[in-house]
Amino acid sequence: MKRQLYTIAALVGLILGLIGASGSVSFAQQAGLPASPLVVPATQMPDGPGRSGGTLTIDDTDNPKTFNPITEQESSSSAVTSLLNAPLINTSGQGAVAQAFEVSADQRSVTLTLRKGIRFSDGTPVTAADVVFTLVNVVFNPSVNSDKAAWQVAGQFPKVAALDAQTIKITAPVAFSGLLSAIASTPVLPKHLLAAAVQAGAFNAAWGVDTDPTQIAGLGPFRLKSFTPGQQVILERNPFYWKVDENGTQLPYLNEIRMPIVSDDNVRLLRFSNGQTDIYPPRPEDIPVLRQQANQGVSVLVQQAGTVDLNVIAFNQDAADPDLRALFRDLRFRQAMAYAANRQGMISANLNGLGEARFGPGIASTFWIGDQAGFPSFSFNLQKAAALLDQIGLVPDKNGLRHFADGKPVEFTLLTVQGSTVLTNDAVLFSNDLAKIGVKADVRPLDLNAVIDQLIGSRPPQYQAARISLGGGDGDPNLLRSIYQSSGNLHFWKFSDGSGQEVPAWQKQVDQLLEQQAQTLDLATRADLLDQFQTIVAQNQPLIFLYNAQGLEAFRSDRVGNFTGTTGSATLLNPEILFRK
Amino acid sequence: MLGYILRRLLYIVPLLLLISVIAFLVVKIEPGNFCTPLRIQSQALYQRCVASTGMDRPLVVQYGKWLWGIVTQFNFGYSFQNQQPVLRQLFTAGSWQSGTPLFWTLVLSLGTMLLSWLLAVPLGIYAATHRGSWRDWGVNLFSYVGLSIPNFTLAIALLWLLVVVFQVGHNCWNSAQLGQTVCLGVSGLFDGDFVSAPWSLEKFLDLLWHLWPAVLVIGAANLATIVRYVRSEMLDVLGQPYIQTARAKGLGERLVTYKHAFKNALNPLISMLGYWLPAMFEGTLVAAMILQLPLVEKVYWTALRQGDQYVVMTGLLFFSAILIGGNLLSDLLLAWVNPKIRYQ
Amino acid sequence: MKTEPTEETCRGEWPFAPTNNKPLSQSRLIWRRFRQHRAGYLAGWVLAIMALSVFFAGFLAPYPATSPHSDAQNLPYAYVPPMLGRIHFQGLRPFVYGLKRTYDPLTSVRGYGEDTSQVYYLKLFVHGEPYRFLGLLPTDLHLFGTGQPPDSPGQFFPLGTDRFGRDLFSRILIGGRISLGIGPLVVLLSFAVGILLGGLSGYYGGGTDTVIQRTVEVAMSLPRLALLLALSAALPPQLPAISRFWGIVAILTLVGWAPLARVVRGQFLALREESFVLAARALGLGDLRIIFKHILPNTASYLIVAATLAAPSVILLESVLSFFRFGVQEPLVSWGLLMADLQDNFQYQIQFHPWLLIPGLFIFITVLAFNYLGDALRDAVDPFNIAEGPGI
Repeated sequence: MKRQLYTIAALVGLILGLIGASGSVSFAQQAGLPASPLVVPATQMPDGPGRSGGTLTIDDTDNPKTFNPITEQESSSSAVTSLLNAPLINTSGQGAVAQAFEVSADQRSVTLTLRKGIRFSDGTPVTAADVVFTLVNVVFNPSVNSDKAAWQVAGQFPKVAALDAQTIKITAPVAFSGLLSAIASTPVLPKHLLAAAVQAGAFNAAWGVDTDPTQIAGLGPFRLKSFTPGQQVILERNPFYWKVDENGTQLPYLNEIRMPIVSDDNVRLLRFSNGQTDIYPPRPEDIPVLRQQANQGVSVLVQQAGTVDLNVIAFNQDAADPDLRALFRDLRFRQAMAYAANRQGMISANLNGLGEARFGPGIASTFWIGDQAGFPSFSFNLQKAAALLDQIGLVPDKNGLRHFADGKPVEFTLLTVQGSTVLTNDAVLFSNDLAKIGVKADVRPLDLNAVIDQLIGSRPPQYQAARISLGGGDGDPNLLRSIYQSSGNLHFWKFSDGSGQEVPAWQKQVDQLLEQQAQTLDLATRADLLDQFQTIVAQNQPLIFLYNAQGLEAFRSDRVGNFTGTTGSATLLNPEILFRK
Repeated sequence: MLGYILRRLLYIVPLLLLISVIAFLVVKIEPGNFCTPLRIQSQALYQRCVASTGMDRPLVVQYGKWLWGIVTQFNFGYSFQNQQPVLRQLFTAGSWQSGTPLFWTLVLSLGTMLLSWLLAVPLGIYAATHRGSWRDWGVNLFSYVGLSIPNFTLAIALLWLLVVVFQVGHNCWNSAQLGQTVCLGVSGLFDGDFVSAPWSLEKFLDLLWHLWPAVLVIGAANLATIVRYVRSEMLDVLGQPYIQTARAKGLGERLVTYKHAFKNALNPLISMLGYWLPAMFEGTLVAAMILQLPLVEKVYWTALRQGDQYVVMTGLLFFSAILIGGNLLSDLLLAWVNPKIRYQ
Repeated sequence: MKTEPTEETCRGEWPFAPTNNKPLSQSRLIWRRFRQHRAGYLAGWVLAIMALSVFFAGFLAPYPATSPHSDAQNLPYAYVPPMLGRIHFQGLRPFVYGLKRTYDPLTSVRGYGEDTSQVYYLKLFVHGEPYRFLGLLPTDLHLFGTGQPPDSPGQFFPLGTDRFGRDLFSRILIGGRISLGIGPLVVLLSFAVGILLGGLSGYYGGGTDTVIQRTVEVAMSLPRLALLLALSAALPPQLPAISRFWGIVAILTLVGWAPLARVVRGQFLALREESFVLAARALGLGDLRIIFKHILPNTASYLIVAATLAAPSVILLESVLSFFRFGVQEPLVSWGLLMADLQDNFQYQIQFHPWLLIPGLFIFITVLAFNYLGDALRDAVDPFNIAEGPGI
């Protein structure tokens, strides 16, 4: 729970497989296997084809709150539901549950054909009616707590039609660049198990934690076997799964995944050290501990840009205090703050050196951001910061403290999330450095709920400054709109939109660019628009960007094969190819 | 006596009513609630959530509805976070094989209580009858240390010792019942598939292995307190003239100690029983949080952090009820062992 | 220990044995008996020394509690090990070498070595980083230190540093103000409430007694730690750290006054019928005067004992709260909060930075000392009976 919760899960991280060339070689029919399964080539398996059988143990961070993949809100639930469900196509744009898909010439519609003979994990065949049900009756249903933003363009949902039992056509009102990623982020649900709940208007409560496991079915590699609250979740292999390896062995290899519920980071580490679990996504500080256990079969993976959390310090440009409001709206102040952020110090103190500084919204791993070369660099420099503050007219007195023209000291509170060491430490370091240039930042850790309340609970928001971390962001750039567009729900640093009068010119430009790219399908044009957007944001520093943390993984290489990573919590990537050595 | 018990039981009703008001208010003044995280998605979603959970009504109405549900249907509300009734979430979630939070809380609290009494009473008597000797000094030191060590430190130290120093994970055996290799684990109540396996000797042993650190964390301070009380009560009684008389009569030292002295030293100890319950609860809470035990206390703590309001209220009410019950019990026990005490 | 009868046993039998022919006053007797309880007497001294050190913490500590240290590249001097063992001598002049970073790429363990090319002498009454003496007088005089600026490698951290390069020894001393202070403070406040309500209840009896007793019963039926957690979660988020501290004190008092009120009431009930109170009443003295001038002084010794015995549980509760980050918050420091650094990642910390456990040792010693002191006082005041309340 903890780490993931602290990261405000703003954007749905797309966690589905990297794998899936849609081959259609036919194999000797195995019980449960569809007629044309998806073949996973050995080149996509780090350790090659594995062997079937065995159990894998990974601690879940908390009790799952629901097994409903549409309404789940946090990682302890999604760690389970992500193993139980699958979408029509995957994020890399290849067929999954759909064997093939075709984008129309006018680029508004997609026609998808289901894999022949594919069945849900309870053995019921999948038809186009299930897809229509999933989208029209569930995701687009106003009474369902679903992620509607990903599906909406120009304020409307696409139209969904079943052409025949195997074929579905989804048509957007205008050209929509986010359509494929929306499809890839939505699991296909079984109509026969959920139609009654939808009819009763009770879909939000459907598939709660009390549900009989036989009443839950999906298209993921595993299915629910049992759940004991506070103790553990057990998943068993889905005998109807639709992927095979090169040798024709049906996936997943594992018979069972066991997920004991352990809500304390320390205890999870201890259990991993003790050999009770096979996989553990470590915190940066755990690395020295784990490296000492290398002779006991523990392997550590450091991935270049694993987590894509947006680590920022935000200033509320609509703060209630008029002096602070004017100050936070002053670009020179925000630039001074960007200079005053000791990114290397934060990376060294918090991340054990495993991270890289960042000056704009860019994320190196995604196609739409090449590099940060065009961004102005705000490397740590207190002299420059002090000079900028002097320019604004905030001159230090004999004690080194800066004052506004009316004699009030330059002082604000800096919120962080209670219990998140990383956020609080960053804030403390930042406030220590600010003290050196005569600005007082009072670090105040609050409960996550209270922080959210202060950030977006009211308009204008109540906070003054906050060190926060926004999750996701590596998915489709369309998902960034809720943060960067002035009308976005997460646009928490300045809410003066509505009338549009107070929105600064650069922000109008950002709004426009983001709208434009959403309706552009040509990748090169889109990347260009996004580059412009990023450069504008980096120049204006509405958020003080800090760093990218490197993704860290630890697993027992003597026991687990084909491990490709997690999403930083208990959510496994490519669970179907994992095998027991 | 019966009338007294009845009156005490009746008196509990207004007491609990008042406590329910306090619990309700304490929970309601907390900032943020279960719906707050929905604000990230959209304001409309948040408002719908607030409306559907009734959290937008006036407090009096909310309290009234809650109380009415309790009185008429024994319904303590709904856990919005887990979408199930509070009673199930807090007490009865689980199965016969895995146990439920209430079951484990009772087992751990009562078991630890019993165990600490069984250990502490002989230790205390021993120390008192060997007053001034190095043994007395040892027992005394032990009890002072047990009393002064913060239980969270004890829990952390135990975990660390087991895993890093003793490396218990390297001790494995082949379980005939599960058909797999099981190694000694830490935290939680069971290893591997034992959670949902049917009860057997093996499962029970696995459980015992997981329970002892918890018992130690919960019981250390308790044990120390009781040893101190027993010792000082015994010293007190042993100094009384009637003991001297008994000794003068030529009664054996053993008989004097156990028949005359201990029986009389027992009264004040029993009257303290009610007071030890809260201490016990505190130890259990800390143990549940650090050792990851699926107890009512753990559910309470999680609910508190997630703003699952009705679970927190009911938890507070439950812990109060336990305290009240403990106090009543110790009064009754006192009357039972000491016929001199009369109740009007 | 010896097996022969000790002074203690003799004392138990002859508590009033006069050493000379002059009769001793009650308080002299108590003091004498207290001094004979060697462990308790020692505990008293330990607590007195601790109290004095935290009172003058600003001066005794080489650094301010919240002052971070980093090198010229602005990388914090995080987790410097205790430097008590790194003091060298040139003749009689103590000195330390400059800090030098080490890094083991194989295990990714970071550490610190000694840069023997740089020598920094330790001095007494040195001018260091500024602070306010007793919270009032701005000064920069510290008892000892190297007198180097915060970004110099020539620092002296007696017990090492935390992750920001803040001196642990200074933080323990300054954090002691809250950890040592909160026990007596909360007990005092609880007593103020307890004496007022318990006194009224015991003195007047009747309806007042009933109402107050029912209140006490409600308060005693509330689960202490669970309520504490819920209440401290309910403290308004905008509260500054210092107000939050007072909030915690108030909450601890709120859950702690009832048992004390009960003890006081018992005492008052017993004394109400004593002849000297009846006499005072017959003389027409006012109730308040009787309560404060006649009854209270007679219960004082019992109250002091009960207070001493109640203090350690408050200290432990505060540390539990702060340990789970529900209690005192930065920039304030308490021993429980220092231990919370451990809770963030205890395997890493115990393995690589075991000195972060030292604040726990201080909690332990303090609580131990309070327990010994309380028992000694109790024996001294009342060698026959056990006047032990349930504690807070």
